[in-house]
Amino acid sequence: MEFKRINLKNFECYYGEENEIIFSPYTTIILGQNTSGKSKFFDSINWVLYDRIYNVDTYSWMESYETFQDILLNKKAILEAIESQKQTLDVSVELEIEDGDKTILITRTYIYSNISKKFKLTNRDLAVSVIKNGFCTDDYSGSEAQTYIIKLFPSKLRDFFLFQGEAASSILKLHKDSKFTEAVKTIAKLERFEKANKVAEEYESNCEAVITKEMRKNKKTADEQESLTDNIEIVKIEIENIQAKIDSQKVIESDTQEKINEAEALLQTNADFQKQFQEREDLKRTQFSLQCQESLIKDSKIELVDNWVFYKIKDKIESFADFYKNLEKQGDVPPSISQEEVRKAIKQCKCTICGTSLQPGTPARQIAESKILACDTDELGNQLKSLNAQFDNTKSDLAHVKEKIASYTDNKAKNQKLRDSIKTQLDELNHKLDTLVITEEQSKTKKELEKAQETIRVNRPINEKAKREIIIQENNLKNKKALIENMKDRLQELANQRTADIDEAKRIELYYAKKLRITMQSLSEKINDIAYGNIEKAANEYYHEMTKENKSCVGTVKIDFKNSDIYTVNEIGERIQNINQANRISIQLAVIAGILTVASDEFGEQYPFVTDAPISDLGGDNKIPTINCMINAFEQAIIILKDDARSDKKSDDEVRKLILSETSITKAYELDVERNEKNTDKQFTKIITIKDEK
Amino acid sequence: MDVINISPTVNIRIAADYYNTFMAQQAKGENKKDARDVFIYDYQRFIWAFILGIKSGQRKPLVGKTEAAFKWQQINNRTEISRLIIGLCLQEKYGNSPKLLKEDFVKHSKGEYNLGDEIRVMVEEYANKGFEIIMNKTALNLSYIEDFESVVKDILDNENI
Repeated sequence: MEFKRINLKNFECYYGEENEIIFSPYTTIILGQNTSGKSKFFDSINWVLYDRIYNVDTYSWMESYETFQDILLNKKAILEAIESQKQTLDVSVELEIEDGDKTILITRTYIYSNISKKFKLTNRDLAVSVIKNGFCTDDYSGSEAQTYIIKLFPSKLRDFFLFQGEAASSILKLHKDSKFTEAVKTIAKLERFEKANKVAEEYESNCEAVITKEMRKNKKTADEQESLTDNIEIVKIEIENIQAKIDSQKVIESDTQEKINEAEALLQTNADFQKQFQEREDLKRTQFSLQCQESLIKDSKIELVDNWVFYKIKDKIESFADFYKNLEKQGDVPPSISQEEVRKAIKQCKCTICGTSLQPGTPARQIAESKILACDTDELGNQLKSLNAQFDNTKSDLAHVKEKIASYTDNKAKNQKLRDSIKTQLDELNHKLDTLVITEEQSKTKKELEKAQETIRVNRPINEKAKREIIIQENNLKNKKALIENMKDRLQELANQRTADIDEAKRIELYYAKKLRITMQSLSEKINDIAYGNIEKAANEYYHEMTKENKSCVGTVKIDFKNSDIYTVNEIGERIQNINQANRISIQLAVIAGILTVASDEFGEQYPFVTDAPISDLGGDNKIPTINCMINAFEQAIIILKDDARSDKKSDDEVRKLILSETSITKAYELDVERNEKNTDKQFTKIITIKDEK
Repeated sequence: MDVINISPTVNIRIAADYYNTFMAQQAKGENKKDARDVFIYDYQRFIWAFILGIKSGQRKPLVGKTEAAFKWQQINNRTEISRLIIGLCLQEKYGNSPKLLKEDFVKHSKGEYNLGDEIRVMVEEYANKGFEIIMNKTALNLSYIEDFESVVKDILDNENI
């Protein structure tokens, strides 16, 4: 690519619409005194491409328009606009670039509006037109335009092909992500290799992750296998224990069953006797029951012999009432007046019944006293009363005796029948029992049978319990065996799984992924080495060219990544200390040249080289060689230099001589300040053409 | 305590013959109660004899050998029976001469006469007569005393002895 032309309109110290510089396709020199506008010119290129301005006070770039919007607009233009009451004012830079068969026109414009006699930025504009064969093929504006520009001129390279000498030291730092390393990356398209490297690493990592995951799963599988194996052993022991229990219970079952069988056999062979014996026992029980029943029948006779027998003398019972009356009437017993009453009356000297006075000596008293007996007829009377009452009750009872006796007779008859029945049964039982007389021999057998029965009684529950326990334990055994089989199946399943998991395809894939990563890494490193190696080589060529006439500049440029530094070394590789400013600038320029050269030669990326001022500081013997070096290094170089020539001896200036003599310097300009106006704000830069060759 | 009473501790006596026939009978060997069907206890037999005796209206003095059958307490414990027996005896003794009761009582009170003993003797003598009657009945019916039907028939026949 090649810068063709630039036109500045009201840009900083450049007043008016026509401030054009045509660039040489080879070398363009722009000279100027201090404050003539050299840096402003350099700013214009940075501004049109990247919308940035260099701050000479802070030695840094102002990347945000807000920071520099107020200084962009040419002051003279402002004054005139205010005077003429112009409402808007533009600042613009137009840069024409040639890229092969295309012409690219980049125009950046800031529009200022008059607000209370102050021009404030109200709009910003960027336009890119692509012209081919005289016709506009593409038009871009705004962010699209900026994107297009960045594609042409990557941001990471801007500090190198638009070389601001003041910032040299900062852009030549070698640490990771520094402008230098980023620039080299951009030039050598190392990003692509880095990206490819990263992709390869990621790919390898993914393959490894897959396998690791499988391995991890395998570990899980291995753990499960181990656990299952342990559990199988535990269950085996449990099975042994259960089997032992079963065996033990079977022994018990067998023993008790044998005893039961023997006892039952004995009982069976003596079944008749047993039956007989049992029958006898049953008969005895029945006999006892009958006897109890009979004893209950007997007790009900008491009323007959204690009470009903008096029915025989019913008449005498009934006549007692009359006897009692006679006793009262005739016998005076119980007395009509009780002895107690008489005594009481005598004591009171008054009859308690009729009230007759019984004063002593009175006839009534004598009568009363005659009634007092030595014996207690009152008590006799009471007894007779009780007897009478008893006879009266008995008389009432005897009225029902016939019915009661009839009922009793019936019951008695029934009871007798029952008694007879019981007796009959008892007789039969006794008869039977008599026939079931146990002989001595039988008695012995009876004992054996009893023993056999006892044996059965004792052993049967034990036997049944043993049988139940066997069933339970056999069931447990069955379950445990099934459990072991399941665990073994699972073990086998896990074993099969492990071998299948990490299949060959994955292994091969990982193998080649590793290889790819290594290759990419190697390639990336190689390209990196090539890039830096070539840069260093090219830098050294330029350095030696720049310093060939300066004996104090010795050594070889070293780009030292390890120590993140660029310096010169002597023949044996030792760093040369305490180099002067001129050498330092030479080194910086040489490296820059090296970068751009490598970009062009190795990677086909060619950029115009625009530099502001550092060469000016070279002074002495380095200056012209450096300029020459620049001319030779770059396809297109635009060198902005401080004009050291005295105004009256400009022709003696070495740079002017070079301009005139060097054929590749086809364009040269001088920047001068139009100082006619007293008001410094109205002063502006003039572009004077020194050389204009095609 | 009643003023006319028989001492509970006194033995009631029966003629030896009657005792041997009707008390000691069926009393050896087996349980007496089991052997007797109608009058299980001796006192019950005695009461029946007394009833038959007083029904006859005749007393038969105890002469010759007698046996102590039981203590009066056995009858005395059965208050109703003892009252009936005493009342019947008083009725027999004083039925026609009620005034004599008071006189005898006075004497009894003075200690000149023991009315209780008098009553006891009456009871024994009436029973004695009753045993005689039972004996006659037994002659006709050997198992009379334990023949339920005979006894019941006899009880219900309050016209005849």
